[in-house]
Amino acid sequence: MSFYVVPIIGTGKFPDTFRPKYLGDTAVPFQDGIPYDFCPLDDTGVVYAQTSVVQDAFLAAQPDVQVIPPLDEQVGAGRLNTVRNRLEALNIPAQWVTASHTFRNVMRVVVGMAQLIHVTEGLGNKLRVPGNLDLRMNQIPADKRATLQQGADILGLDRSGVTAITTVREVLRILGEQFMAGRGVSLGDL
Amino acid sequence: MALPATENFAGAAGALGGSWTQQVTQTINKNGSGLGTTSGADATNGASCYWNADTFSAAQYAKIKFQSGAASSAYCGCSVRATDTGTTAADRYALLATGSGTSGQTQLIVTVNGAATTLANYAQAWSAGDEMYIEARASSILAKRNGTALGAAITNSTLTAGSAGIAAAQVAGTAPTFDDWEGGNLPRAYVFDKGSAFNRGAVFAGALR
Repeated sequence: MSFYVVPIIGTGKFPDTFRPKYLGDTAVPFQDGIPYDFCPLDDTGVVYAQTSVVQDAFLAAQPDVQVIPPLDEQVGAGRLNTVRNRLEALNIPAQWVTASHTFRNVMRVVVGMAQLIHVTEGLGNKLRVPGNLDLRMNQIPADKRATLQQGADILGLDRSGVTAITTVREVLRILGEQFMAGRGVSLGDL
Repeated sequence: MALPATENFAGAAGALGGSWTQQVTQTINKNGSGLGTTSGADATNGASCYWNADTFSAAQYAKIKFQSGAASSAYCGCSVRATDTGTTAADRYALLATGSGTSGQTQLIVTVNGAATTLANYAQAWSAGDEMYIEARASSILAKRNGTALGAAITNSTLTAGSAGIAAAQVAGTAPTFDDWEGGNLPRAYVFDKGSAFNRGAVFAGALR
């Protein structure tokens, strides 16, 4: 069992649904398919899958796949910049990550951020992350701002720390960190 | 009417109407022999409809009996939190299966504004008469076959309300068939069953504190 961060492929039109690259396809070594759970976040997603040793090694060799280390390992000083840079490269805010966070902590926050984005999508005003992370709340369109607030309320998140000058990056951190403490994230064993 | 709502597909062949709202171009039909089916092939949008005669709570379920499908081509299924109509507006969570036990032939899908994302893939074979079941409770989406969960509940917050319904897809060739749909609200009182979506969430949350 492993967690991966992978690009999303597909057109979104059934049966070419949006799905995780490699794991959602039938090319070797996934020709027989593989059970997985998938949490999409814009053009990237977190996947929990029961991969074989061969499949895990295949994924680890792909430059666009991040294999998540054992969940209870700490990020540690030696990996901190790598983790931050790789998440940021995927348009996932990551400057909040510290060496003492476990990968479980990190992934819970990332999946929590994704859940918040999902709500805004369902409300018809999806807040896209790429290109918007460094905008302040008073710089994003009012309808998207309202949807983000509504989404936070639906999820029961405390948004009292968010002001007009809070950046989207910071908003996602403030709200996403509330998932670290036990709010409902049930992607695999996460 | 009162929930749970039911549909046995009896009657003359044709699209479900009345208490049903068809969501996309191809419709969910009665086949004239007591089964449900699709009106025709649509390689990209499938067919789906939802019950419109009652208001569902956010915590809801749908179930249907699988009758026949075809690998990578004809999918049976049921849906929850379905809303809106049109190929670029329809929303739903759906459990779809062709009957084949190969991974990818049973999928849990969220469709938002007509765009579908596979949230989970299962390697699960289905036989005629097997009960397909999907429930949504808060952010937890759970699929079952004959009362047994296909996997852990999926957490997804995209769709927060809507109606229970039927989802199917005839990509080409053979049409799927299905029978005995039911949709309703989940009970308010939580049943302390380890398999329920609520308790799965609670177990996961507790384990991670």
